[in-house]
Amino acid sequence: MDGQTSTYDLVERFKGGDTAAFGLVFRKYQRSMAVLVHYKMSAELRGAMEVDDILQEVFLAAARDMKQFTYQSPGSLMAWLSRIADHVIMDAARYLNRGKRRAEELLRFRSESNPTGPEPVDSETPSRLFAREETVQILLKKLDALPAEYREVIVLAKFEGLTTKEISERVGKSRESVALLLHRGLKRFRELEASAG
Amino acid sequence: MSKENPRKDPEAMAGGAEKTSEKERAIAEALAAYVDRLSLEDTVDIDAFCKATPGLEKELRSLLESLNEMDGSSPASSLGSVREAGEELPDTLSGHKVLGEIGAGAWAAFCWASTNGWGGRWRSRR
Repeated sequence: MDGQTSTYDLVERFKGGDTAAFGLVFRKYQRSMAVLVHYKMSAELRGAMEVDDILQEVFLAAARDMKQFTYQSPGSLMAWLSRIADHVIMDAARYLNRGKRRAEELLRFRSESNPTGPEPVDSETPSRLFAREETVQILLKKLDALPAEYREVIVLAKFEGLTTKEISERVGKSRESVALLLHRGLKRFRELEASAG
Repeated sequence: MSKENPRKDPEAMAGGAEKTSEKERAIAEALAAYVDRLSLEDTVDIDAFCKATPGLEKELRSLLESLNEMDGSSPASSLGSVREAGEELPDTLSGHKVLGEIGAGAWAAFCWASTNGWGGRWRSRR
């Protein structure tokens, strides 16, 4: 199992001081986490901050707390990242609801309210930026177009990496029902792909 | 599957008015098996996997390909550095020594930077 070995090795390498290993963890999980965070965030929260704001906090917390993480099985790192995301989103929503953004904690970059923070750096060319954003946005647009119950099982299976048994427990349906929803969801997703050209 | 108990009927549970055929059940089960292997971070050979479900190969393959396409065109292209080829990271940024790029999100790049701990980072934003 390459993936299992790889994730375990990356975690152990990072714990051993190999910071490059965390870059590989990031690359491996960031797209799934971006989709997952998007759907974990409320519409209100998405209107107030970007998915990357949350992702930044999630991966920073993961890097900071990795020594406390114990690899138990394939999927355990994703589950851990998902729990961190839950906490970060909860914190963000709490502060949003209170109407006082922790700008100095969530967005530590220079702004009127945080004049001593580091400046944001725009190092990306517009074309590359657009292409990157577009691939994620196209995916989200297609997922958004699916019926909610189809989308839910796809997100849980594909992006949270749950087994069909775990999904069935999460959504309260039989494993067979989950399998059928997954099938119908993917069929619909494929139709959306075809219609999009 | 008991038809007397609609709560346990996957047709009803799946929520669709769509008729569930034996073929659909077989494809759904194969899909579930594939997803379960992915959750184990198992590398699955789609060709071999589809060949193990004779008669359903074509439809199953198209669904598995759709599932895999959600990863983006390729790990390298979708998750690679947001910096242009040949473009070097700055040595310092906002007083922090930049150690290297962690990776890039859809709108941002994340870097290691030395401070008094793990705290240093920067990102690009639109």
